[in-house]
Amino acid sequence: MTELVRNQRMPRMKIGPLVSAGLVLGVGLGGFFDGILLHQILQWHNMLSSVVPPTNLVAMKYNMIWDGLFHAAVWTACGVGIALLFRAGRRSDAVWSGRLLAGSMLAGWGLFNLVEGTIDHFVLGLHHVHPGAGQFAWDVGFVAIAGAGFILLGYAFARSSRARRPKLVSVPAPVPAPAGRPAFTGPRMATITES
Amino acid sequence: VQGDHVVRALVLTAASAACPDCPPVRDARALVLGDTFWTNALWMVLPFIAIALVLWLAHRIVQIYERSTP
Repeated sequence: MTELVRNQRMPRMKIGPLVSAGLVLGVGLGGFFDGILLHQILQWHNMLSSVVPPTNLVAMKYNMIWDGLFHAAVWTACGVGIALLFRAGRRSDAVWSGRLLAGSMLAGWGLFNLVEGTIDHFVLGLHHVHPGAGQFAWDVGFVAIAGAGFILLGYAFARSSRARRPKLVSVPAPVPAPAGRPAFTGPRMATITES
Repeated sequence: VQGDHVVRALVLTAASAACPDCPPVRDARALVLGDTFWTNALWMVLPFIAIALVLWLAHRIVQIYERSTP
């Protein structure tokens, strides 16, 4: 019943759809990590804590509102990431790899930290990672380790998945339709073997 | 004195947590929606705009690379 087609190259598989989804999801989840851990649990800073320091109740609430708007923005990024992931899952020419997705998400998280850290901490001075003594070192460390470091780590992790891309494919022969029923014309099951 | 601080902090926390329309909240809301609202909003979304630009550029580069390779 099963006809094996050996030594046949897969049609060109694209990593773009999964990488895009992973990057955008990483941006959104990375933003949530920042907001939840640094803004709320540790309370090291808030969105505009260097503009309006949260030293009284009104200023705290002011920063809380801006934190909420920041969370709304990263929630939107997560929504876009899920939509992109769903779209990638429906494409037959998209690579589907957990390692590639995880690496892309880590790189997206790093991209968020790098860009947000550079713009908000250095250019605009809206807030600092850990205000007070040594805040410049904290800001530099954040951008270097949690920014560039995560991007490189994510890239390395995503690249390691490329060695596992399928090269051989065995395609079962189409199943003949039972008498009196129309032939199945949907997508065929394919067993992918790794080289 | 130490205990007094704790009690005051708890009262403050309770007051801030359970007053959807008390004066501090109204003041904070007015401050947020004041003259600086759009400037702050732009500052807040600026990193996201920059990230979107970076991702769009990367996407275009990958597309061009994929088209140019056989």
